[in-house]
Amino acid sequence: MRMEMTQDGSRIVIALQGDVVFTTRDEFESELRRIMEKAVDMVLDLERVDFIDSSGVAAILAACEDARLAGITFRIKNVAPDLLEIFELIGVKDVLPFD
Amino acid sequence: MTRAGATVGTDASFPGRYWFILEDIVTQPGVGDETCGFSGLREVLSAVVNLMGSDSPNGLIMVQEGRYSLHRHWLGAYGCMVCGFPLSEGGAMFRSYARGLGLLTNGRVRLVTHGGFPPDPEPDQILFEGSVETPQQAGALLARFRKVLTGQVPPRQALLHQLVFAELTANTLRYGRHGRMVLYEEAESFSIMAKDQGPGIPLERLPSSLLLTGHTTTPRSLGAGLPLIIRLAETVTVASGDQGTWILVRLPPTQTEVK
Repeated sequence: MRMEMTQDGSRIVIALQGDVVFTTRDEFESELRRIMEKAVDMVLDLERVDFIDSSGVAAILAACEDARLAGITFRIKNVAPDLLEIFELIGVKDVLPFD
Repeated sequence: MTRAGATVGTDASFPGRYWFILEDIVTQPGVGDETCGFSGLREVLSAVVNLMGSDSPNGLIMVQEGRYSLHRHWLGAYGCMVCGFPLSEGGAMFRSYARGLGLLTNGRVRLVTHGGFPPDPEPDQILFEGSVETPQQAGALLARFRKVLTGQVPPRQALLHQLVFAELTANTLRYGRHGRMVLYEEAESFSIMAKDQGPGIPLERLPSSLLLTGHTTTPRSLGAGLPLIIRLAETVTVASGDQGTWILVRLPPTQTEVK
């Protein structure tokens, strides 16, 4: 899994690429935590994510909650329909801030 | 359990008949009867409704620490029937759990002993196999699984199959010891066999571990893996105990609606 960070004004866009799964979760969370230290507005772009499992979903859910507690605006965008179905199967589609 | 009807409550969100699992059964001293403490009832019912759909048989299986019993009686106005019978230790208990899990899942989940577990596939059926003892091995297996399935099934179904494989692999890596995964093809459907030599899942924890999202012993986990596997699979055969946890998942043969 790769993470690419770009900045648009005060908004940080994090584009994920590849698989967001149990083997890449720790790396994902630690990098996201580092980015959140200085963020006020974040967008997670999932356009180039090939696959996500429940560990990946849990990581995104945790990031969303951490952002909320830190007062950071957090959105998720460009989620393919098949990937969105995975969020729905796991039961979190309605609680995450999808665009 | 004759008092259970009074404690189901007045939740009108769940009309009709449902199977559900309860924990936290409390014996009230002096009453001479057992009553149910329904903790998280709405969550349990919601989970089972989502899992089973509206045309499931109705009933209730209750798991009580220390004294395992399944009881059957009709809960009247709420349309829920409590199912079960008194158990003794040992084999009768296991058979009751196996029957209960099968009934709860319309036969989709089969609990067996290690001796009754389906045999390993024939070598010419095996598409690949490998150890799951490190995250690197697990990641490599996931990549191989995707490669094998590409072009074999429609993309959406391939993604759902991949989800099953990923969840099973993650569980085997996380909880098992000396885990091994095998993917094979049989009668035009794919099957995944996962075997480990870990501590196994205690019998009394099997219903909640297998069927209820949110049951986990791991921090930061959603506890969604096994329920998701069961929801997406055609059948799931489980043997778990001192010899480890063995799981055989038969994936649906064609693109179907998720039940």
